[in-house]
Amino acid sequence: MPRIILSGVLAAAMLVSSFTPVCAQESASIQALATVVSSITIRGTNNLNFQSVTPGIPKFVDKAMVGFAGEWQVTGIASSEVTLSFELPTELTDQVSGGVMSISFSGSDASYDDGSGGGQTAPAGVVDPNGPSTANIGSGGTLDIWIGGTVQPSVSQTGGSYGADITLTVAYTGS
Amino acid sequence: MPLKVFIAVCMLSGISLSAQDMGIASASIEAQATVVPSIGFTSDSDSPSHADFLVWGRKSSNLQVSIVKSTGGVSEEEPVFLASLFVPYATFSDPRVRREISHLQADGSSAVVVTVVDIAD
Repeated sequence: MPRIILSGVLAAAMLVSSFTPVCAQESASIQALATVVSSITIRGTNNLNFQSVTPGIPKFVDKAMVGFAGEWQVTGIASSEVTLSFELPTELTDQVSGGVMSISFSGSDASYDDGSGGGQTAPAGVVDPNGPSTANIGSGGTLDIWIGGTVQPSVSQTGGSYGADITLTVAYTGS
Repeated sequence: MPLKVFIAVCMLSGISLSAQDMGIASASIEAQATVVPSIGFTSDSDSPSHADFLVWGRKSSNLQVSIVKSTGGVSEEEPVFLASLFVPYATFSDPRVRREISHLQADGSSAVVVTVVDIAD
């Protein structure tokens, strides 16, 4: 009986000795990378001004009409792609009388220039303001955008000053 | 511990908002228009001395002029006639209107109402 116990003890000791801790370990690291883009800014620099309109007579302002077409200036990362999203009104409102007047924008009523074109009168490209579109910020880090439109005063349009906001949102696409 | 979790959530939220702000921006401009009434009178036409009045409207428009005169509570409508506006702003001096206005009584017992409508070409 003692011999059996001794044999068991020895066997256990051998078994334990076979599990010698492994001292050689390897490790590797990876990096979590992220590029924080610099801020993009936009500012409206000119209102879309139809000036005086006559009841019953539609009036069109072209996007190339300097000083009358709406204008924004965007600054951001050079050569990066951005989306252009317009929020367009369907009518202008006279705050005094409460009257409204229809306004519309065609598929070629907006344009942009990234510095590769000739400015407002000869822009680099034309975009449809009715849907999201993309453009690239120029190599100089700027992008100019213009918009025209048409107002349709009714024959019984009440006289007064009409207005509505046009909002342009720009965002990096990552491209 | 809950306070620490709350602070951590707030900090993460702040980072997220900051990153979003840096990649998107928007700005508004205003579409503006001034509607000029198709017809207007510069002065009160209830005096014979103001038979001429300024009319504004679209250039080369055709106008339909109607005159309603009333004397002693009795109204009488003159036949409608047409006129043309050759410039957006013009002094309107039609002999028919002038004639009716000249018949106005100084005591206010008579009146002339002139209505001018821009009609289609």
